[in-house]
Amino acid sequence: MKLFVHNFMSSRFLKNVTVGYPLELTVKQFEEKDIEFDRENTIVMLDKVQYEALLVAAAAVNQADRIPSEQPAKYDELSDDQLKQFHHILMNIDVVDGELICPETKTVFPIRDGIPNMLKVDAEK
Amino acid sequence: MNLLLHISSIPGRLWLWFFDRFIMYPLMKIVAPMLGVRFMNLGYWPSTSEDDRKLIKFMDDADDLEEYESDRSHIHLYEKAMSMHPKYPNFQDLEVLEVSCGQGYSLEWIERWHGPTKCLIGCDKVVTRNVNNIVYGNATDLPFADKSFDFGKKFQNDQAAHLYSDFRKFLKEVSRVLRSGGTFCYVDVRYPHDAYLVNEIAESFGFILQHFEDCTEEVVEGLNYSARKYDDLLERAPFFVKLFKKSLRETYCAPGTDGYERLKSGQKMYVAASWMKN
Repeated sequence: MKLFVHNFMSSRFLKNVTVGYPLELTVKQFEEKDIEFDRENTIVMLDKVQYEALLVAAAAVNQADRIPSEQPAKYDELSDDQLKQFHHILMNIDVVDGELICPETKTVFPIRDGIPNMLKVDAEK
Repeated sequence: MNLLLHISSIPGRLWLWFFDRFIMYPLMKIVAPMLGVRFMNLGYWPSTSEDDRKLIKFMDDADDLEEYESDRSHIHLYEKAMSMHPKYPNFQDLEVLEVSCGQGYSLEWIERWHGPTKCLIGCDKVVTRNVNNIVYGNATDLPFADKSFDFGKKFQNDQAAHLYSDFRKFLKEVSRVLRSGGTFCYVDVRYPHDAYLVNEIAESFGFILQHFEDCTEEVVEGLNYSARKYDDLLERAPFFVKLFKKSLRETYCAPGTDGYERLKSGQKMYVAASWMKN
């Protein structure tokens, strides 16, 4: 699971969950790839990313220090090097084994072999 | 007499209902990679109508389709669904969700021929391959935040929607995760008496109809191609798969099966529709 996928995911579908976002993330194993950086695409992606969730994902792989703790005002004013840090977190990191956790009910959804399992029947309380 | 025929067909229909929901997908999880099955929709063969013009042009303009030639009928159906999107064939900068994405080959197809998308995520109850951005999830409990996507396919729901336990709940979820102004493209087999109810349900969740089409004839034509391929694969399948040969042929509506005949006779219809989220 690429870390940017975490930014979209929610446990909103669970009973008694009002928001379910962002999901907590624990990572037991991840891989780092080298996807080609594209400035334009990175800015476009960042414009839609929820920054709070991005920080959660970055912290889960101990790479929160790559990016500012506060959302930059304008991504297109960042240098290529700065944008590459965001690109690395969003696109280069692949979670192989871990857990996604509902922030309200603490229901645990496993990530195995890189695939998050968000089926209620397989979740753990 | 008709009543007797109807009653006598009930056990068979019940079995197929059970097979579709509890046996086919686990079976396919094992068998599909083994046999090289990439796409599992019924298939589509475009006509010369104005509704298929964009799809035909896209396929004519696309290069290097040799590796997909045996899957052309299936790909036509994906393209049919996507062609209802106002930005077709270019989905750059869109955040796309495909519900019931199957093995994920359609995600690869979209990214290769219609991307690069800003984001492309697939969701299915049965995941057979670890491809990028695929999630185990239930169509009636979509594991995504509100207003996350611009383009929902099933949101391109290639025909698995009729298997959803609660179609109304599915559309409610689609509405929830789609942004205002986003597009939902849908293709599926329905009974004629409820095909138009689909739009009523969609409108109740804030969707505005953009396109609605009965494309049964094109799907029946497509079945003639796709079923031939599946029949050939079935002949080469392991014995434990051949045990379910009759049911599998019903599932892919091979010529001569009840499913095929229902489509051909109009007892069932194939709907292609798209909506914009208000």
